[in-house]
Amino acid sequence: MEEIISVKNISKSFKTFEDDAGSAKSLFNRRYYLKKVLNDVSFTIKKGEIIALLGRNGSGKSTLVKILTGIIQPDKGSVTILNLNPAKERIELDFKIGVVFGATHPQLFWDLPPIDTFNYIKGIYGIPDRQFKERLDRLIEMLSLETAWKRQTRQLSLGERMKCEFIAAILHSPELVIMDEPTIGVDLPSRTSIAKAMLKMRSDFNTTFIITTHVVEDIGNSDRIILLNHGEKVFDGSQKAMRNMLKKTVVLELYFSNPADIKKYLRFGKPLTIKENYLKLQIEPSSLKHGWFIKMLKNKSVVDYRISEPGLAFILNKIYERIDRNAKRK
Amino acid sequence: MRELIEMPNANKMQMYLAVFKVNLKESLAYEVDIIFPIILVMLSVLVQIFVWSLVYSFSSSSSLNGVTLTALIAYFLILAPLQIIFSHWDIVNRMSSGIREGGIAKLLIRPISYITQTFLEVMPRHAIFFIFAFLPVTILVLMLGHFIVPIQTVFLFSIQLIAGYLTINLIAFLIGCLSVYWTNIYGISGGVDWIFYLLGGALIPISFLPQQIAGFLMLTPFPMVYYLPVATLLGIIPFNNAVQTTLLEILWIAVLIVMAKKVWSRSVKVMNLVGV
Repeated sequence: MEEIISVKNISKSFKTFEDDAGSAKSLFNRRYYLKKVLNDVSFTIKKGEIIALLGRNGSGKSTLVKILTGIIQPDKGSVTILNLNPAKERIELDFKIGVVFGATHPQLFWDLPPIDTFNYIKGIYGIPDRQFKERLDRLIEMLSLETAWKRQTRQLSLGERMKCEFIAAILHSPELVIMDEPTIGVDLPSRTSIAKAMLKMRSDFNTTFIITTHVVEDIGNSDRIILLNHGEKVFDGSQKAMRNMLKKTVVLELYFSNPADIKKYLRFGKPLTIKENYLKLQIEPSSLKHGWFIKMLKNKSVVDYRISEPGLAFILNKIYERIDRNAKRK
Repeated sequence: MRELIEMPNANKMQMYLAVFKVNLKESLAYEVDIIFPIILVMLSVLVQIFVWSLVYSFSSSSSLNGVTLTALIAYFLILAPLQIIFSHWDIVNRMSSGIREGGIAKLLIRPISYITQTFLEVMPRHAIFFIFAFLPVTILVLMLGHFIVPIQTVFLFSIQLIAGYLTINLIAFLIGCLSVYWTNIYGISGGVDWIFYLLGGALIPISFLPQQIAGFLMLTPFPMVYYLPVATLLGIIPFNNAVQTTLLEILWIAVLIVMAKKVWSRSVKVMNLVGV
């Protein structure tokens, strides 16, 4: 697959100040310092890949997105996207990419119906009438927007607005789509339809997607995960590789008729959740062959049980915990 | 420009028209937003007319500094809608909030230069005020005051209006760039507003100021925004002097365009937009 994004050793800092005086004194007594938002980050992305860019709040994801789109420039390092330098050739690059900024910086004109934004996009990118109509009709149907695109944007639900934001980002058929937290606060059906449209666009046009998100379902569609922590890349690989980072564990969920029995099982694994008659344990897979597990199956107080592999949310949490532990040790 | 060639349908005029049209529609979304500024500025003009009528009533002559009361009232009436159109606030507000709150990002993902987009965003609102407030008020004032304006003056006045519009908005753009360094620039912007009103002839016509101060001010861009066009139209400035000052203004605009481009290209390098 052709490589379309190359990010080499980029760093970005910004000047900020701390104010612990909490009074007028702080006007004259500010301690300015440089805060590093990105530190020596490198990666490449191939055409057609779907990348989930993850990290906690303040990890540098949005800054990275702004650098990739040429909105801001890195202090150090180089970025090449579709053979262009975003910092120097932003206008040329903007013809080839589409961006969704989530609910924080909507592109839709707030007091107008989305159709006016779509017409504006049509004019800016010079989309011919026939293609515009065909694409718009297809997307409106695919995203089940019915008549929402005719109503004033400020009167739309968040889900409808985000679907329209997505349309505004892809109407000109960009080669690369970057979405910065596109599904925050969006309901499941809307998230699903946006994901479907994204996968369809990838399969039809081999479009590349980069999504920054905190929503686990969004990560599920990705081919690769890039994880940032305090501005540094701490993981770059597939979902499977991320699962393999942790010691193999399984999750055992038990439902009791007699809640008093819960404490009998606490020592067999790491308790994750304890509620009235419910216990969720993290256990080693080999435990499933141990005597206590066989006995548990015969225990009449255990009315139901479920064994599953840990989900991505669980794995991510574990990785964050591990990162924090390592940072404390240092 | 390789990519522009690859996008044969991307015509620059079509792009600019698309930005203008959508912003025009948005400007027309709320009528109150159009009507109230006109009413408020007209009220402030009434106060000015009242004050100047009193000043003239104490004078033994029918004119002050060669300007009759009728001409002065006409001056302030024509200036009133011009103050809404020739205001640096629209650009400064957009730039400042865009940089402070991060909304600028949505403009910087479009294949149009930021300066052009910013101008095209504010122009529709100004065009509405021009057509529905400035033109009718000016025509009415000229007719009721029995002013006879030669065609060459109308032509020069039109050039001065365009030049004045560019001057104030280019200065506004330069002030807006300060947001990149100081984030909140409303205080500075408010100060600039007063400088323009005072030194631009919106409070007192420049010809009423001491000769040396007036002569110096006429070399700066400030009077070119308000005083020069209106005073030219009403014959307060002799035609030949007005032509000379207009040529100087065009020179100022060239300097401001170069400055705006340079300052913006430096500002965009240090803009961080972190956390927004």
